[in-house]
Amino acid sequence: MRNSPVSEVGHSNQLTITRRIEGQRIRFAGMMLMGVIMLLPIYYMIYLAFSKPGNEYAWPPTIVPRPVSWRNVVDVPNSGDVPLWGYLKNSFIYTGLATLGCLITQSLAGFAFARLRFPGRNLLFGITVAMLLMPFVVTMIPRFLLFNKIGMIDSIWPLIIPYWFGGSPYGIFLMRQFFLSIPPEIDEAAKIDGAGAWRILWTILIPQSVPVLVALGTLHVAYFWNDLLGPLIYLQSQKWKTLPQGIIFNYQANWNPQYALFMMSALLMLVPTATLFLVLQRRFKQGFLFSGLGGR
Amino acid sequence: MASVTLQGIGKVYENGMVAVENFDLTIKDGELMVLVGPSGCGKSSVLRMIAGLEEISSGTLLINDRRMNDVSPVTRNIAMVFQNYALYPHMTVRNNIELSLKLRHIPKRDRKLKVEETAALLGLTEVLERRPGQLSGGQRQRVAMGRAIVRDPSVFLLDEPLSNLDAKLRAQVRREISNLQERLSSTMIFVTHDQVEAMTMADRIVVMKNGRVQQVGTPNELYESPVNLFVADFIGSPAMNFLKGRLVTNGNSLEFGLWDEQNLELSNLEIERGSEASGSTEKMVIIGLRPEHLLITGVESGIPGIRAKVRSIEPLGGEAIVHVDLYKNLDQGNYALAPQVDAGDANDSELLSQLRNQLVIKTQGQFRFKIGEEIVISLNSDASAYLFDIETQLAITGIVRKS
Repeated sequence: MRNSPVSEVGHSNQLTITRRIEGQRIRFAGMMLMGVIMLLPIYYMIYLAFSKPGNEYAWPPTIVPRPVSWRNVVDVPNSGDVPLWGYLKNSFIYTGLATLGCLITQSLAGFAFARLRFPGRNLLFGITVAMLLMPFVVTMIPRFLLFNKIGMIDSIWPLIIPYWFGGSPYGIFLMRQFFLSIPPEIDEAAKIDGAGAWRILWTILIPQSVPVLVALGTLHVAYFWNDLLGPLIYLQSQKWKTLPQGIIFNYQANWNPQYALFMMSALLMLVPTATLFLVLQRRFKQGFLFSGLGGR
Repeated sequence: MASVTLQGIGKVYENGMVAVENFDLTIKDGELMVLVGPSGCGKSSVLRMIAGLEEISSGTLLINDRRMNDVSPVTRNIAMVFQNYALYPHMTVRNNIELSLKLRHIPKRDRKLKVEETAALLGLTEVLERRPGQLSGGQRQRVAMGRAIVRDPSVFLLDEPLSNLDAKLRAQVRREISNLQERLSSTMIFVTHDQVEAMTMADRIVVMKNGRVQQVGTPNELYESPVNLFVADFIGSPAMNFLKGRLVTNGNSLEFGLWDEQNLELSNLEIERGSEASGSTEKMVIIGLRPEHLLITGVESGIPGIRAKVRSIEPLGGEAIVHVDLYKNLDQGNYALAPQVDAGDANDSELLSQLRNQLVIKTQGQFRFKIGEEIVISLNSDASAYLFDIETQLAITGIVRKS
């Protein structure tokens, strides 16, 4: 074999390919292991959710709970001491209004930073980006004091109003980046066609931003839907409490937590956001690709 | 339809960059004016100032004798076609064309009529319900034109509208735009960096460099009598050849000498009486020779001219582009390359530094000489010589073709 240089080259090529395949195998194995680790808690949640109440820790453990208790699905809403249906309604209001506020004001702010010229624009944008570094807990107390002063504690408004003032700097940043990726000539063409800034935003730019808005909206929905800390801080009476609070109080505050029902309620709470994500999955990915963030 | 007048227009950007300086131009009603120049010469800035997309730093802009400096783009009643077309990607062709009418609150039925009329004019009827992403480059270009036409603007502004098309399509669209302009008899201002586009389409051309007007004139005027080296170099394809040499004038006859014994007879030119160049003088000048004005003959023909050697040939079928090297003292077997033109004493001009002892010649028909063959170069009968002052780079006036 050693007499022909061609076969030697072929040989070394083969070696490289073999090595590459091996490397890929190792990488896949690693990723699968990570996946399993990520999925384990979810599996356990589902396992517990379908266990018969009181039978959660049966020995020996089984892969699938035995017996599978489908009844849990029906029992959950009426099992605890608190009106979960009312909480569900509050969660919808909180998530809906806060997300809407975020999307509207973040589009506006993103547009201003991307397209309008005004003094101090770069400074303001710098401050906005710097806010990304500010942890929630730093502003938590001052914010509480502020809303306390204006008498809004124990209402849903402190949870919603901030999100009608831009909400997260991340969203503003994302919208700005996306608007920057749209050629400015399109705005100029619209300007010559007779459109003002407002019209350019709503009829030219926003319709092109649907994937980004979907991505951003999904993130916001997931955040508000799962938010426990915010409602804990501001809401005291039953009237406005949200689902995460309800679930916690229903089961965890008990001396005898019923883990099967606890987990079933958590599982049911996951349904709306998971459905939303599955339905919008493709647009969600598109959104991140378009905005030039992630998706590598 | 309208006339456009720019008086002393200037543009200084926020970072202090001067894009346009003291720009004067009057565009007549129904004229197709082309602004041409290398990239960064300020031609797009001028267009954007006329459109109202860029603020005018100084000077006055008049459209139909009305001052427009501080008027919004839409009230100037102009339409613009962008280089990348800037179509609204989420709207159908119909909505793209219709938007400006909608924004002017024109009733729905009139709008529909107008859009369909425009689409028919441009051959877009079949694609009205498609989106820009589903169209070919040529169709997109036409949609951009349609969006401009539909509003009956008084002035059309076109910013390099052909540069995203392939060569064949470009020639076709060029004709389409010219025809359209004639049919609508509208005022059109067209920006391009391509002098071929400028020459083929324009009623008049403005050549710009570094934010300043170099020359305004019809394509023929620019070709026949460029005012300076820059315009001479810019207009014409292949570009004009430049050589530095000695201009000897005697009475009203003149001769151009390159170096020892290498003379180019300018026998079909003469000096106007009483002009700048008259009298007996001898001075160093730059001569411009159009590739299509040079004649190649064999050494044996005995025709006087400059001796050279064929360096390369680009046959184009009906014609050929020939590159030749000029040699000193070819007769005595001294093949040393002629002395390089010293660019140092000529204002560090970029152009002058490109002066080489090489010529590009455009010949008609089959080219019968071979690479490396010795030849003689002379001027053909329709040649005008272009003579430029080395210091000022301006054309030396007063030299005319013999009648």
